[in-house]
Amino acid sequence: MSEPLADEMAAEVEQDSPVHPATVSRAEAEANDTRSHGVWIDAWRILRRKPLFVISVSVIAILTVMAIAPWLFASGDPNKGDLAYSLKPPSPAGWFGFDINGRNVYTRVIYGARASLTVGFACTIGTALIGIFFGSIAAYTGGATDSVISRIGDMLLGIPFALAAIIVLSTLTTFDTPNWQVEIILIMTIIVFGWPSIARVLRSTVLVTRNADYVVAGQALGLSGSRVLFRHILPNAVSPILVLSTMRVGGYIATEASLSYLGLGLHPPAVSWGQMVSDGQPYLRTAFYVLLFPSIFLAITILAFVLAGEALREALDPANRK
Amino acid sequence: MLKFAGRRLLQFIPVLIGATAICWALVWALPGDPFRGRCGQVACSDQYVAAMTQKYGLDRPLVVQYLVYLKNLLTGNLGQTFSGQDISDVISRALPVTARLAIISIVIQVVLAASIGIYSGLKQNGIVDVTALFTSLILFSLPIFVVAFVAQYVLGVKLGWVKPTVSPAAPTSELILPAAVLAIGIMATLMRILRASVAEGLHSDYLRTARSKGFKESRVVGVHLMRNVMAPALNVLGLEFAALLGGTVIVEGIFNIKGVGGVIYKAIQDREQLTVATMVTVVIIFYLVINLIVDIICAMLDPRSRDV
Repeated sequence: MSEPLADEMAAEVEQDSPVHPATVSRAEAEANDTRSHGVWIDAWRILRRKPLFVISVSVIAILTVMAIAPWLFASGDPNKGDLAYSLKPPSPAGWFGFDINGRNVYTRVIYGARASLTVGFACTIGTALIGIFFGSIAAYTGGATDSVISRIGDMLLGIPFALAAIIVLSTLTTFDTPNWQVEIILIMTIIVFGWPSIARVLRSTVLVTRNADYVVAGQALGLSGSRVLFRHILPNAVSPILVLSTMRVGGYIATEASLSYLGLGLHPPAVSWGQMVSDGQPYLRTAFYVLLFPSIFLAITILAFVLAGEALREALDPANRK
Repeated sequence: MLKFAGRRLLQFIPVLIGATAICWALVWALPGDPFRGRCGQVACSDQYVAAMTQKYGLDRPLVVQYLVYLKNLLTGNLGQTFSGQDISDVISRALPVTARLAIISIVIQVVLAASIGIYSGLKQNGIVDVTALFTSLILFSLPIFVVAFVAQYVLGVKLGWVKPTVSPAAPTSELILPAAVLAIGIMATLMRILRASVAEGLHSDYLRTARSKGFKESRVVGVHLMRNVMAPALNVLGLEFAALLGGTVIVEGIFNIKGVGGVIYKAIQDREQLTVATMVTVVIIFYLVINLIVDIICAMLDPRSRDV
């Protein structure tokens, strides 16, 4: 169980060459700073020329605007239904058709972006921060602290994630729980069960760099432990974590959708794609568009994050640089 | 090797106890009295609720309940559901179905991922490689319930190639479609890790050495390369088991399969805490044991991973 996940492995491949060369003096440290910027600039130059990366980042940007200001894309209330329009197929009045309650599917799909992206971003940032915190402590202090953190991580990873989320959500929420609370509980659950995999990658990265010459030199010069950790060790661990996190966003979004689909996530009046797919399920034969459009949006969103992460991984991989 | 296995086993015990304890704590925090709503149209009498609470030991502190539960588990007494069925009976009905579903799904994954992944690793950036990469990323992006629906509708309802839902006996032929649905999302990861390790292995020193010894190419790739490629792939397969087990909850619901996922979901809805806790514990043990075996196999394949 101590071996990392597939994407973590992929992420780990690129830590072989230290991004941050050995430094002792301030002048050298600054020179070194420009070099570590160099890596990011290099990566940016590669990425800029990758059409897939540009497209997926644009899609993510559009979706983000959609989540923040859905009224720019669709007029009207996503929950306003006119039964005269029940299950009407796509038409100029409603591009994606209407659901059983006569609500405009297009408007609902646009408003549904918020739930998915909020969960995706909040979980990614949360797992990354907590994972980095515990991972670096575990690796840097070692000994008993390391064992305790690593074993707690193993325990949390030992519980299949979807089962844990189903149990937590049905434990802590009922139909009366306000949606914002459900959302917070959902995000917290994903973070609690998700940080160990980030911590693991970080721990192994730090263990590799901890004994590097420049770290030993920094310690010999009497730099404080936190300074060595934050200035010299952590910058090396950023790229694998960044890649891993980008690839994970899609997974978190899919989790939210699955839970909403099972009736455990957000409930009306909140709009979410998972819930729309679940609502559309009985009408698959008569009005497939009710199910089709939220599914397409869900898939495109996840795909955009996966492709962006993939491109980022290739660009940051030292093997791909001259 | 024995030392490694022993150390792994020692680490495994606290993880197992911790994971089951976390799961236990989560389950018993389920709101609502499990016995209040059990008397049909009339409200349950207080005496009934009190008697049932005592019968199932729910009046004792949580820690005591957990210890009693562990003791019962070790002695093979899994207890009864709140409606009086033996939980061991429930498990013996549900587990074989889910186990068959999981095995078929893994066979599909391994066959497809290994053939496509290894081939595209050997012939990088070829047509097969690029097509496979895109297809797998797109399939990976589709949430499992959408794949399940579309597959059920198109193959089951429209074309009529398979039965849309699985009959109670769950014959293997009817489980192929749900198993394939389960395999689709997970397969992408396995395929990509295989492709990456084959591509990496092709430029390695050990492969050059093997070639320079004059071995046939089939032996170089089939034996020398495969041995090194298998360890990461096995690891992924072990860890992806969690996704597989989670996915069964949804897939079993859609295809009406009476397996572990379905039982757990229904038990959560019915506030059958003991059933939920026991079933989830069984699942966790299953998952951890599989990963323990994977770790040991990997250590046999690659002696370097023994020091980790």
